[in-house]
Amino acid sequence: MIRVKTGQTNEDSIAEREILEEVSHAAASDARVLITGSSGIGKEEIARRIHLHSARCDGPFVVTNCAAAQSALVEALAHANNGTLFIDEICALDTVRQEALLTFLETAEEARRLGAADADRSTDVRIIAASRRNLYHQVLAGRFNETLFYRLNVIHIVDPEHRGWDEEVLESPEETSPECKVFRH
Amino acid sequence: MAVEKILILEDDPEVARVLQAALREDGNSVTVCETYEEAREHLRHEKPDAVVTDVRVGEYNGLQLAMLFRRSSPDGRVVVVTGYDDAVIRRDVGDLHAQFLLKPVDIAQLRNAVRAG
Repeated sequence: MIRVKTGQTNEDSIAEREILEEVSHAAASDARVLITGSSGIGKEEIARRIHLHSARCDGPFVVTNCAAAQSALVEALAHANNGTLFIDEICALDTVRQEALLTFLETAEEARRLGAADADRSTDVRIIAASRRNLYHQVLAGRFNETLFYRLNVIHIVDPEHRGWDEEVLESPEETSPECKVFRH
Repeated sequence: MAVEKILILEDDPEVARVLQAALREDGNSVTVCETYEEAREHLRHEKPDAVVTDVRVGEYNGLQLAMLFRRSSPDGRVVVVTGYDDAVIRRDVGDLHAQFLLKPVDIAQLRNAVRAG
């Protein structure tokens, strides 16, 4: 899953093992997950691994990329019902859609609280978000909603090489797909 | 009553001091960690009977520590103490079968919650 480099050092191996441990931890629960790290650590692969080892493995695994297609988010939420939605580049989500996602999470909570009465309108989705920027720094800079940050970040998987990083952007944007991709396993 | 080991994750030193003092009065052995990483490291070496955690702990959500704790101690008691009253987070705390207390914390409630988990 995680891309293994040729000539891997002991430190790489320890880092990989730590991530695998976090993946196993995340797969055993239904909590929302935030993955942070540079391009190349395989964030989508980590998310897919969590999905495939979770209780939602029979549901869809849907991928959307905020940097490429913000408008696809609502559509992606619908496609991901009973499965997992992987939102890549969450740091690129504009404030309007940050609010929309906050509302979605509240609505889902309300539907759950009310039970099956509103089942037709409710959407049951596990969200796994990823960012190559330090999203907490975005919160501190006022560019990302703090409430949304803590809601998405119940389990935080951080590329160990970049724990405590200070860089605004680690590298150039990843290649992005303009579409919402739906996978059924 | 047997001495219990309690781990507190709280990044506000003043709040941590109050929580620690209150729980020590019951004769417990109380360790305070101000970061998630420090608390996770503590869990690797120690097996507390209960965890008391804030939600907003810098880059981490304290619920992650609670989940980690429950992996090694399925019956371990967890109390979430937060100034952050959010329906979605409350649900997450409920899913963990943990106690939820809002700041400012009522000390009697805290002691009861730690006993009940």
